[in-house]
Amino acid sequence: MDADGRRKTLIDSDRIRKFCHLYSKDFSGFTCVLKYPYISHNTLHEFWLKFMITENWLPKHTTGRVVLFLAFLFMFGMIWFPILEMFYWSFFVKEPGVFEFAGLSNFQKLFTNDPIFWKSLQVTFSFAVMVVPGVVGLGLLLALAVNTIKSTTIRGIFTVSFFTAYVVPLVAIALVWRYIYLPGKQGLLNVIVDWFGVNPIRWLSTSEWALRSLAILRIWKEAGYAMVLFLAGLQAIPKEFYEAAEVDGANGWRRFRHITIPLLTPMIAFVVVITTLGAFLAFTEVYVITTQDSGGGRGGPNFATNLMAFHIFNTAIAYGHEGYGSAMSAVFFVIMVAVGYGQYRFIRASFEY
Amino acid sequence: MKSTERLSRRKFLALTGTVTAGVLLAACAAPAPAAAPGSGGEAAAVAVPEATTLVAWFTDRRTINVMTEEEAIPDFEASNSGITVDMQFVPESELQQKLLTAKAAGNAPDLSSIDETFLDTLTKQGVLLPIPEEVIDVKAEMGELNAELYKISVNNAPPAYYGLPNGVFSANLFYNATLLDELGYTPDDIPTRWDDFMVWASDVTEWEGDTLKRSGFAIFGNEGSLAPDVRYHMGGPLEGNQFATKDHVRLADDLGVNSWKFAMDVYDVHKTDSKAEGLNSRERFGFGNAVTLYQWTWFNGVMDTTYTDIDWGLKSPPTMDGNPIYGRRGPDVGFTVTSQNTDNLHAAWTFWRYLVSPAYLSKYCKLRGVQPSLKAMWDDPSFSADAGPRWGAIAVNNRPENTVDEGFSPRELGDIVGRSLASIRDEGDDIASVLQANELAANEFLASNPQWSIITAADYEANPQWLTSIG
Repeated sequence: MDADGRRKTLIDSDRIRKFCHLYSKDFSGFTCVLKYPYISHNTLHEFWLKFMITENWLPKHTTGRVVLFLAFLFMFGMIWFPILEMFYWSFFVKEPGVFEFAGLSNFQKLFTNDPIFWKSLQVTFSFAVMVVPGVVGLGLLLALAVNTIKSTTIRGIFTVSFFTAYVVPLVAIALVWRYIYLPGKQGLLNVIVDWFGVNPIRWLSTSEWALRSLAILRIWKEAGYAMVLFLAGLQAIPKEFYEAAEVDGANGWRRFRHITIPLLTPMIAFVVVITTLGAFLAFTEVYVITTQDSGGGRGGPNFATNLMAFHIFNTAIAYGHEGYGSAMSAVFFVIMVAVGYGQYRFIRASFEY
Repeated sequence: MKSTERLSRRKFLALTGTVTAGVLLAACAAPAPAAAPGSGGEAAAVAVPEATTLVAWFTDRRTINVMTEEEAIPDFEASNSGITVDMQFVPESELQQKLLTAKAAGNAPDLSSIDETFLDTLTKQGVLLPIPEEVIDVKAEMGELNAELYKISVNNAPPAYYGLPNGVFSANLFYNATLLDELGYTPDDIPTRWDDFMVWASDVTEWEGDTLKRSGFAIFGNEGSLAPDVRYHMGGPLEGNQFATKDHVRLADDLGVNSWKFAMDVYDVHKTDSKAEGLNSRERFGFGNAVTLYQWTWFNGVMDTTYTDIDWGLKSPPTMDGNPIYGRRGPDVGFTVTSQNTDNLHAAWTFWRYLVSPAYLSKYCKLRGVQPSLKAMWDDPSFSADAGPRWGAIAVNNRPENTVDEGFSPRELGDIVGRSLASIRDEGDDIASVLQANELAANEFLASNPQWSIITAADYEANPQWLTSIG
């Protein structure tokens, strides 16, 4: 601790001192924080000062600096600026012919007087809870199965086959899936369930099954991508580990549990995070599959498939309430960041080698 | 070396900060105002360039677009040398956004067909140009009701017309002439009173276990049309109007509940259609598995081009006593000028006037199944009650004394009201509860968004001539 009771952190104080002396001449109002050999334990200050020592990260070559500058410009213009503008608009009433400051009234309405928003949030979480384990589980299962194939050609055929579902645009196959989900005995799925003595299910017309139907579709579509990622992860695991375990008498399940899963954890973490984010941002399934003709109406029946991305689109784009839609987007953005970060930290903490 | 590093850091930061600030300022700058629309007189005075190419956006209505591209545009270009039309297709669901984006970018098309649900938004956003008085006299050419309804005042500007209806349409009873013949009936044998009709429809319906083989009266997907029309059959032209005033809709009154119950009885009591199978009634009819279909007549074009094997015709729908009011009629809006290029305005209005003329509308309205709005076409034999089995009923239905024009409402209100269908039909929820909840939501919307485009019971009470042939 220093004389003022602040925790001391030594960060190359000579260089920082020189920096502060230098920049205090050129930036009016810039306050040199380094009055002491040690600066206070302040993450933001540390980051800023490290950042300002540009030789740590700035490319030495001019071309590199130009490229970095362009990348920064692109990132700001295409990613950060729209996000900032979204937060900005969330404080306004922005509708056709109207653009006026509204303060926090959009957020007030959102938190106190919009049951459809909370219903959509609940539907979105339910959708993610169904999709993520399905994609991860099915993807892993497929990867394990395909990984046992010794012939490269055959393995390639299976890999491509399963991956095809991922690359085919959903809009293109939507009509096929709507017929698969026909509620009567004409629907393909109902023909299959009929083999097991189950009555025809109204897949898209009832609250009970509509969201599950979209989840099944999403799992079918995404599992191939997860499979490819897991397959790469499995093939990166050294065979010697399995051989050594086999010599030690470990059976298949123990090898899977103590070798495959731990070494595949980084890939599992990645798949979980991107699948969750993808589920949170799902839109096409609702827009294309759920229609008035299929029984429920878009986002229906009774908002059972009213995923958040679709709800925001409806509010901001279809209905023209851009300010209110921006407020929804802002809240949802914060929720998604928290969920993604939480997942990443939780799974990272579980790494085992 | 040290001075080089110092310079590079400083220069880099200064450059980044300057450019970033510049990008921010540029992005936040107000968009350049659209080219001011000239009045008709000014447009006429502008010298027409040697050759003008107009960009016209048409929505994805295949039948109409084929006719327009292959017949109408060549005819127009032959009569108007110096003007060529570049026809482009835009999906209707994307049209509103694309127009807004194009306007902001300064490259809006010269003309665009729009849906009536976009008219209010696009007018307020300044996308649509006001129609000059010299181009069309709305009252003289389209009647008093249209002249009153479509006059819009935006942002305290004088009222003007921005979009007009090409025509009006309503729901009719489609019948399969072949099936009728096989069953030993003629179109004239179809009953005109609901109670007789439902008995007859039940007789001609055929089930095979739980599977509907032949529907006597198919409505799946059209319940939201049938219920409001039955409301008119039960309540007459004033009480039957679900819009009492411009800020109040009545969905959950006795008429509303009973009309929805009537629609559900088609499945539950009369069993002339199936909701378990989920097969859309239009497809069922098009595949030749329905004797009759309750459907708005925009389906005419689809029948003529997609389901060409079916020998079909139209009849006015049944009512409680066999007489009008048959229900609602609604507008088909319409073509608009959206040009941001003052040089193109004269040509744009010339093409617009062609699109809103008997030369074009005689083809368009047949394919679209709408009764033309132009008075000049009202005596056209091809649009009269004697125009054959696929048109006569349209002409009869769309007379002011036979159906009620409720105007049109924005998509958001339509979605609120439309929530009733899934709840009532698919979830089996209590009809009154569902209608009460949706009435509350709809009236909340109307309280903050009163709709100029809705023609209410109060409007008709104040203007009873609109319910007569004079209107």
